[in-house]
Amino acid sequence: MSYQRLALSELFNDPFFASLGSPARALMHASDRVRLKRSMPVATRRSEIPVSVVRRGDNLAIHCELPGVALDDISVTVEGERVEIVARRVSKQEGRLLRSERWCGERRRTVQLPFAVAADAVQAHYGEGVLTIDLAAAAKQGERKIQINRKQGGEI
Amino acid sequence: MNEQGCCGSQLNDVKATKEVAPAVDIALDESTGAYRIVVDLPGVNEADVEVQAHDGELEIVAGVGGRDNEGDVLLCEAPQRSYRRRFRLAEDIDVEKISAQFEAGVLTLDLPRVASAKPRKIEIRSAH
Repeated sequence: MSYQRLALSELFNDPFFASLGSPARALMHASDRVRLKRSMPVATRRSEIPVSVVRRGDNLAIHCELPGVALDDISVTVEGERVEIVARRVSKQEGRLLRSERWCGERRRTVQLPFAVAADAVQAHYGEGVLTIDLAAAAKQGERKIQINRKQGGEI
Repeated sequence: MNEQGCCGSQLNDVKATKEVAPAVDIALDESTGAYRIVVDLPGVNEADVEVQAHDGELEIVAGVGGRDNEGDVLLCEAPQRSYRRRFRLAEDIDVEKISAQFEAGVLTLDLPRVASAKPRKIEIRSAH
């Protein structure tokens, strides 16, 4: 028996896993496997960036789950009623990968918004692995607020 | 786009969270025999991450973040949630030396082996 295989069978002592043979599968604890089947996080099953969109009046907040992504590897493009997010994550794992559930490579997402947004008023910040994009509704086309000036010497 | 969010539905209950198993990578350093576990925990504060090694098991528990979710949830694929995952540890893992780092929603755990369990190359001497 090679060193690696011996080490793995020792890592998880459950006899259930000893019968499986595969090193990657053997790393899972029995209760862990059951839990995974029931509630695997969305992010591991999708090839797109998972997002949440929250609306507060004329403002929108888009929350994107992007853990472990460098700021330089995130791009956000806003055009009218569409926001496109592109992110790239490089795997920093060294050694022999026994289990690989985390995504790596490029992921993108286009979100269709309920209204056009002002591209110059977009703010984005990244923290704790979540990118938050704050957007505000753009003024409707042809809509202009008219300033009412007081007439010189008038008695209004 | 959905008009109702899956996490808040019509009530938008900020406290409504569910517990999920986070995505992990596990790698083995073949020269030292040490394991590295990398865990995705997006939206979690460092203070809300707890790692415990007891009774031969390693448990990772991460609480929900404090994101302001007031408003109408139009789409909810990235809900605030808590994470939990357990692994059984081998006896030769040096529990006292397990170290953890947390950065940008990613938890990295290094699990070294006790010194005697590390692979050792046996030198073969000539009989002559």
